Amino acid sequence: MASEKKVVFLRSSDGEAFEVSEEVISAASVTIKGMIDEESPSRADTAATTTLAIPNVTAATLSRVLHYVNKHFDAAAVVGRPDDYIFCAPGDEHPLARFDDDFVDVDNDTLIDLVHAAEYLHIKKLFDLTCKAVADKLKGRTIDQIRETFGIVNDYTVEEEVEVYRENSWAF
Amino acid sequence: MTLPDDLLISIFLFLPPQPSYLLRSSLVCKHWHSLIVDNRFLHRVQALHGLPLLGVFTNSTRIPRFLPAGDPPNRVAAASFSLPDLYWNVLGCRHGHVLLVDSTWHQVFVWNPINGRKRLIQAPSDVDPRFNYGNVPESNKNKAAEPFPPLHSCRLAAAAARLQGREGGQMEGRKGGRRSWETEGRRGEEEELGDRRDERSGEERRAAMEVAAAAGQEERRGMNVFNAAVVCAANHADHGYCHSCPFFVVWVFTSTRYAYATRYSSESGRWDMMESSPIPSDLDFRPSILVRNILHKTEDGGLGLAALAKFNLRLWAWETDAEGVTGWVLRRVIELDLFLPLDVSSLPSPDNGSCGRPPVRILGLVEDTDLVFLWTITGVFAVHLKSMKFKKVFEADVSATVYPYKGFRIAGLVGCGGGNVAAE
Repeated sequence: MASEKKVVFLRSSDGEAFEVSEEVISAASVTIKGMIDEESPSRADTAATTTLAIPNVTAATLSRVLHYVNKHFDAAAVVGRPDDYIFCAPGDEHPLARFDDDFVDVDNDTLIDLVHAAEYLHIKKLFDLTCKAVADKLKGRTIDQIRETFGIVNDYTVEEEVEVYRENSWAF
Repeated sequence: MTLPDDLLISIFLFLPPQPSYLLRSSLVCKHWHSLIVDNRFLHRVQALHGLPLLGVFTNSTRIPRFLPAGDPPNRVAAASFSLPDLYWNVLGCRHGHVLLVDSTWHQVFVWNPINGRKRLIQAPSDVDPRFNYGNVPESNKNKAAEPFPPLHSCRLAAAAARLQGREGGQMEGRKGGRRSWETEGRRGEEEELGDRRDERSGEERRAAMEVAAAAGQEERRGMNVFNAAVVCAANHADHGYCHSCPFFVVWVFTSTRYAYATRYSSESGRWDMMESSPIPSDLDFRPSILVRNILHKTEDGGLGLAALAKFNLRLWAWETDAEGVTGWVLRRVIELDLFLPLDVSSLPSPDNGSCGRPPVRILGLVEDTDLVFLWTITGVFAVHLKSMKFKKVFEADVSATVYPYKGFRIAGLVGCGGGNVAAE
């Protein structure tokens, strides 16, 4: 990039470094903004770019997160980039609604990793998006399917299960 | 794959408000159950979504008496909400309870379909609708031993006034904004109202009364009318989980000239006269089941009047200004034909001519939310007034009043620390 925009490098837990605009990632992630603010006094007089360690997030997840961040928080990209219209179906409430839908259309483990990453990096929009996507997975499944999806062992006894059903029979 | 509790809770909060989703999740394992039946969690759910509308009751003989909201499997079992028998008529629902009355008005029945709680109550003997026509039970005026909150006579009269909405309008009480949007809405209107109050003339009030009177004229059923409402008697602001709270039944009775209110307390098990006051005799008012929650009077709380003039839905509020003058203030006009499907507004009225039926009627209003049930010739619609989204509830040409039932409770396992939220 020929622009004078500052960039930072984010190093994933498995050692891969990703370049991202400082302005964009600061707008997106409260956690990284905090890290950059802490670093800045020592950076002011040096031209070296900063590399921040993100020990809780793998490269696979981090690259997804940054894809999301660049879509949602890069003002230059969000406004008027023609290829955004690919993601924008008629009637979409938000130009990125389609992008978001595709973004969370992933397997459970990937999705849960994204929830964790969004929480750790404190990216509220991404956290809400991914939590809602998990909730949507719960929504369309039976109790057994939910257990299977989330690897949960049923620890109800038959009597207890009957009791919960009986007590809440109005709702079923 | 394991999720920490705080993430699980964040995810549960994104489930739709229908209770079946949370209930199903609570059956996944005991740990999920314990998170979901937690009081703090349930209060967050309610703060976020409000109480879910579970369905509507009607007294129609042509459609089921209870119509669950939503689609299976995420709607409640109609069986749990079926009335004890056809002998009972629904008067209204509030705070988890359904109030029923028998066909002779000798008994009322308070019923909570969610937890099965029931109470049969003899109607107040001194306000017998059949034998007490026009007679003012003056002696009862001083009967009240306890100092009840005094009712403003106008407020009572208004509370006592409900129009059946046969030809155009129906008076409904609407509680003050507990939901945030409504509070905002009210706040937003404050400035405008400030001006309105100053310039409010008798004309405006008269206009509102005329709407009411015009509606009432179509259905004069005699001068003695009565109605009743059930309200939570616990003194708490949040009535989301009132299933085990004590309750009051407020019974309003009007004669030619007077309105009376008497109150049954589930704790004392007896009726006490609250007030009698003159009502405007030139109006054929029917008493309202929607006696506002007068037991928890708030500054902002008040009565509302929703009236229809053709496709214009007008929302009035009963206001008292700084000088103590009360009257109806027009708060909002909604042009329904802009929002309802085209075929509703384009089809001619089935009875053409001057006595034609209006194209839209109000069948019911959900308090605290802005959901209104409207009859049209193509079916009954539930219209969300904030978003103006609408949904056809049923196709049948039934113009019976609907009584929306809202509630939510998750019963826990004994010994698991669960249970419904005690809202005291």
